Amino acid sequence: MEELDGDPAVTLIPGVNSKKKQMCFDWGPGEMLVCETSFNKKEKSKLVPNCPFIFIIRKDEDVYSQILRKLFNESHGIFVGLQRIEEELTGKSRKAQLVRVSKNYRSVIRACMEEMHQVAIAAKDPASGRQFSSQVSILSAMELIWNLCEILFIEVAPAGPLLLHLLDWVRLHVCEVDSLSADVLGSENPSKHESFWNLVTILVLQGRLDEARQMLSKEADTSPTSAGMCRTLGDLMRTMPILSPGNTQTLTELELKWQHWHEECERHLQDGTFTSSPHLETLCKIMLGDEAALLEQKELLNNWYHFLVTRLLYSHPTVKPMDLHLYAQSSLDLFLGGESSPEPLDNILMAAFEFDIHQVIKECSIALSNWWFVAHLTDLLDHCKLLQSHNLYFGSNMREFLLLEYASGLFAHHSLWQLGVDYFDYCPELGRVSLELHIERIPLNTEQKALKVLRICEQRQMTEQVRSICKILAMKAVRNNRLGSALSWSIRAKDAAFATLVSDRFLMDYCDRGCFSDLDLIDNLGPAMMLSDRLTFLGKYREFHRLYGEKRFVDAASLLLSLMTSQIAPRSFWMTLLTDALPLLEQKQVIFSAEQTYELMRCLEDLTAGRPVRGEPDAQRLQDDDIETTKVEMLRLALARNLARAIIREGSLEGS
Amino acid sequence: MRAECTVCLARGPCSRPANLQRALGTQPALRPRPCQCVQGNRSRAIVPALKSAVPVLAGGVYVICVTTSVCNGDLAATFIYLKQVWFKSESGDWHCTAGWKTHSGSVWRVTWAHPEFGQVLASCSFDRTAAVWEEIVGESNDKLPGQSHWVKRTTLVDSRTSVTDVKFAPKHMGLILATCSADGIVRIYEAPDVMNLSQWSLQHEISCKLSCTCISWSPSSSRAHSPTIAVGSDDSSPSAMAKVQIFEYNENTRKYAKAETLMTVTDPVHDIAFAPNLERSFHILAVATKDVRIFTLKPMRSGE
Repeated sequence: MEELDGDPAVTLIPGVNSKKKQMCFDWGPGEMLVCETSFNKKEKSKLVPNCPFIFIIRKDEDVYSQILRKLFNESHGIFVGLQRIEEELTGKSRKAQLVRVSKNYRSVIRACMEEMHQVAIAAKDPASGRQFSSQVSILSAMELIWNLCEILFIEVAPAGPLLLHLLDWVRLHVCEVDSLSADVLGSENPSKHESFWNLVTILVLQGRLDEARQMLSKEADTSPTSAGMCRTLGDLMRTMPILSPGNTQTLTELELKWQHWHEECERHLQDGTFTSSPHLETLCKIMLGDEAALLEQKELLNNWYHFLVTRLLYSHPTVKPMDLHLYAQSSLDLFLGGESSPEPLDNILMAAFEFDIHQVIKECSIALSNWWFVAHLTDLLDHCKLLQSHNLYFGSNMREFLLLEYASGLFAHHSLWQLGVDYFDYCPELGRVSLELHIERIPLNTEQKALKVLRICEQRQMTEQVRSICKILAMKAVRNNRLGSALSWSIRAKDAAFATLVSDRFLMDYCDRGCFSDLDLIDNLGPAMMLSDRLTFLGKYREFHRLYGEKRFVDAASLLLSLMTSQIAPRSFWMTLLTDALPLLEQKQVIFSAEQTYELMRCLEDLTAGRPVRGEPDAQRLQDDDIETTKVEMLRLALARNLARAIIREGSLEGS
Repeated sequence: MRAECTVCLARGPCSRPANLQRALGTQPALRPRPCQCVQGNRSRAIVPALKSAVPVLAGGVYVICVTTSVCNGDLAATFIYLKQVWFKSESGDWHCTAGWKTHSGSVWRVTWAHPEFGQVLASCSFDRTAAVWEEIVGESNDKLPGQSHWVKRTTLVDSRTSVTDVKFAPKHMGLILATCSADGIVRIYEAPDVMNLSQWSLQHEISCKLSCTCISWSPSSSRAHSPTIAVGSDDSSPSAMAKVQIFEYNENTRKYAKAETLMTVTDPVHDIAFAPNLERSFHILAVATKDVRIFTLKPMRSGE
């Protein structure tokens, strides 16, 4: 097990003195609940709690940020796209495609930064403005790290192009140059602007020699005395050999040329060409890569990695990737000068320069408050086949672990959980089982949400979860007396027992009120009717009513009879069925044949024979018994009459 | 002197404004601190944020236990004598939907059943009983809007001493409840008809010989694992050394038999919990004594 680098952070609950009091807690779907308690098993404690609150602690605040939501959504799209094209990535185009994916991620981060910056500026109160600004800072740091990882790990730039990429990197991230340049150029007399020389210096530090030359020519125009020097320096700038894309010279050729150029600059310095202008002399020293001169520009360089890249540009332009870390370490030391120790960001960048991917990921995990960054970066690096199968203690590899953590965090949110589902899908070992656990815990507040969850489960053949969710909803519906809803959910859950229960309730309702609720549902059961006997009976019984309503008496009659003889009708319902048969028996035309009437009579006798003689009858029971007896007598009479008519009719037909 | 501000690396107060001249050109920093801030302690990955506090019963009674429901985050909290149920609305606010007097002694624990069985709570108390409660909707005529109505379905009175913990079994086992009490007996009840919560039958009595404080069911639904329950104890008698016992259901004898005792746990156990199974072949158990210890239990063999 890897060692912990430090103790976990302690969050103090306000109002509870944790040294003296006890606390109890529980985890919820998105947050944790904590409150003060006194768990004294010896019965009543006379102590009064100081703190009358239950606290809600949320683990991951970022999930709830409106602006970051866009980040989560769009990066989700990129992630899924990357997993899908994985099979198609082959050969040379693979690297280019992966670089493109990396740039996509970065552009999403930048878009988010931009938006958050706008919000920060527009913020009404300074506290939230500061908070947004700090978020922007963090996003900027993430993009910085990602960009460097892209250059070193994904692009895998070799010596030569490496420096160009690093220059781009620095220019993108460390600049107030453009606004400064706009300031200076926009003024009436640029070369007399107070920041003029700062601007020129920054341009040189960033290797933007063409622009620097233009600035110098402005200076040359306004100040004839230094015109000559400006031109010379400008020439030096123009002639600096640099590897341009598409250039066919080899690295050795470039080195040679550069060596010559370097010597020429040196000569100018020795000859004292620029002595009369300290500014120009400084510039020349910088271009020679003089460390002292560079360090004097700390203010303009702003940070050690800028210092590093400038230093490499002007002293080791053909640096090899493998040697980067040596220069990086020395740059960091020189720049900080022992006055301050490295920040987390510095450590991460240093780990990247050392090509220690695991260290980069580890440090980022520690420093950042949300798993988003490390999860996506690690996944991308994994696609670049850069992560060894580094099995962690808990049994899954690093990529999967980070993705699982990130996705779990998403599930705390009431709508972002849908993104989390896709992340689980692409975790081969523990993804499915984690999804099963998480999806059961989503609060199903609305029917829409429940349907969404069900669709997701059904797509993945998670039958147990489907059953469970439908059962929960069916149970909820039954308790709220929404029988139709309960029935449809139990059908969807394929839960025969529950369907029987709900059907029973329907039938009880009918007995009480004489009509059905939710007729639509029962009419359109279709093959679902077969789920349970009781349900079949319910459907058929409703059909009987329909047939009766359509005056198709013969069909209705035979259906009724079959319901009783086929044993799917519950015995308790037989009386109702027989009572339903009464109007059919009383019709002018003979509906029940003699056979059928004999059957009905048999059923009636079955029913009445089974009735036990009760004990002391009370008034209510006597009344009930009276009604029962009347009904039975009426039925007997009707059946007898019908039998008579049926026999006569059947006899006469035969006769004629 | 140490640099305070990571935005400009200036020593001491910073003259550069921390706002940006251009968003994309901002000075990146992972932990930007405003100038003149005091060096704080190093914080770690996920720092929880205190979101809000919910005011609970006034009147100076202690909350004994809080528990959240699995599927909808409803919270139940017990107090001395009383129980309260809180429900969270879409906007994230918490409302107390019910509070009622339950047992005649302190209510130690309260637990939710799986929502598949409806809104069901079980509680256990110093008054030697455990009770099962069900939420009724739409029956009470005079209830306030938004208030729900809880009805006691059954009281389990078999214990002769304070009942210290009550837990529902995993849902795949049906509607089963286990209680443990200070007399060292774990009782397992079953409701054969899930729609009728007044009928519970005592299925098993497991004698632990030590006064029990907590129980936990193993959540595994795999066929390879038979129902398992872990029992923790705080018995301070000298003969009681090992404080955690694991009982497993034996298909052949149809009884729960002791499968394992964790000999290394000798301090009083306050709480115990199995981790979700995740289709592993082994179990992971957390035991809270003076500290928290995690055990892995492999069926057939046990290990630590």
